Amino acid sequence: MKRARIILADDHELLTDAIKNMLEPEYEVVGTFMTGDALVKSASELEPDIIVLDVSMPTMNGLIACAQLKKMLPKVKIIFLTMNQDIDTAAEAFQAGASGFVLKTSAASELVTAIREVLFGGYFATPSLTEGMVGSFVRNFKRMKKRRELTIRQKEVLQLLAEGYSMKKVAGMLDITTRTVAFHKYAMMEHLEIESSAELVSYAMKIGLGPETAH
Amino acid sequence: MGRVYLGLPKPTDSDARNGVLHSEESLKLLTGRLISAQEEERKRIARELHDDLNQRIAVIAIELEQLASAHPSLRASVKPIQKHIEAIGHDIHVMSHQLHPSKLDHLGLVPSIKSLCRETSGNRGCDIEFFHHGVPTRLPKDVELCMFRVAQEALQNATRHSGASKVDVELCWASGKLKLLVTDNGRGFDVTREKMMKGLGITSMEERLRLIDGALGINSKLSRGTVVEAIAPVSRTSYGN
Repeated sequence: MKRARIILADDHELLTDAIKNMLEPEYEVVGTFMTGDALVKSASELEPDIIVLDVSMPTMNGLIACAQLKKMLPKVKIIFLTMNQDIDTAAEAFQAGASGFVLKTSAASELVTAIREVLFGGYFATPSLTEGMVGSFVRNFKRMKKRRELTIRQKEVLQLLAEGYSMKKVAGMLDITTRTVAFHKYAMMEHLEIESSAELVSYAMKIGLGPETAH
Repeated sequence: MGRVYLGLPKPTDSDARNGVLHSEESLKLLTGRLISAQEEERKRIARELHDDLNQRIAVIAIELEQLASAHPSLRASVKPIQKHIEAIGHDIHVMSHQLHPSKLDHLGLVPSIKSLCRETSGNRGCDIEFFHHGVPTRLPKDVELCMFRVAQEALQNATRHSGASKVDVELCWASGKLKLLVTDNGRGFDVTREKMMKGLGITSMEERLRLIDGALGINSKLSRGTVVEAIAPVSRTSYGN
């Protein structure tokens, strides 16, 4: 069976050498690059099956390079190999078209597994990262359940508007400009999908912000 | 002991008032330079930690794993060392991120402030919510870093000193201006007390904003919470610089 062709892109030569040595018995490393734009310029000529790259690289970071490479070479599989354990960065990497996200410290045990997985059309993320992701999903879900409808400032503005004060008067009372009051009012209406001021006032009553509950 | 004026003419009484104004200006200029120099230095150290130290740590981790694969009898002894190495790598990454948020460069301001809110909320057990409206994906780097630092400082004040249980962080974009609002329901403070203002890192927020032609507003009353408002003008031609 033909060995899969791999490109490595990382500006740390020591590390690229170590990874190259580790992969070569099983795969063919067809090119190594130290910057994002050098990688993007030369990748298509090398006809890779897999590109392994870091998030931080000079001239063009890995996330931008990944998005551009996927446009140029839709079939190529991209794996991030990084010291960056940030969940948002990993999510952004998959959004940009990556199929794998592996931590450098786990490279020896996980990179080959990740390569095998993505060659078969699958996805791979370092297990320690996915634990964090699951935790983050659970927290977000809990937060969504208890998410407040309005911000503290929006509630203050809403209460005063519901009490019948004009936007100008509210601005004076809260020591902000009328434009800011208008901004809060329209942001609330958009957020609550409410189309008229009357509906907004009745919403205020419903949540207990109205003349009856005034100070 | 008398004063020594190094190579400068001794000021006369008539120069005194102008001198005070002049030294205030110089002090502001100096603070601005100090902030820029500190950010540069933090960025440099963060880069050293991430680009040098941490990559060497990664190479050691890879070599250890290869050693264990070549000599299966060593696997049990190598495993705990690998765990230590991974933990050091993680700590270095966190330290580097605290010094300079590389996420700002990779993902931009909205995701960075979003995760700042999440981290602060997790660390301090305070309910922090983040709202954003129409903020461009990429903004000038100096504006991004300034607004991030202001958000960091304001959140620190709200969660450490104000006793707030809820904080809202809002980032919005309107007519070429970026606006950050940090509102808390804490105990508030007397904005007329100069000492209080200085103690809360407000000077540093003000100076940071001044460097990008922005402005800071603080609205607070005792037991009525605090609103920190930062505004930064952004010209369309400077995006992503």
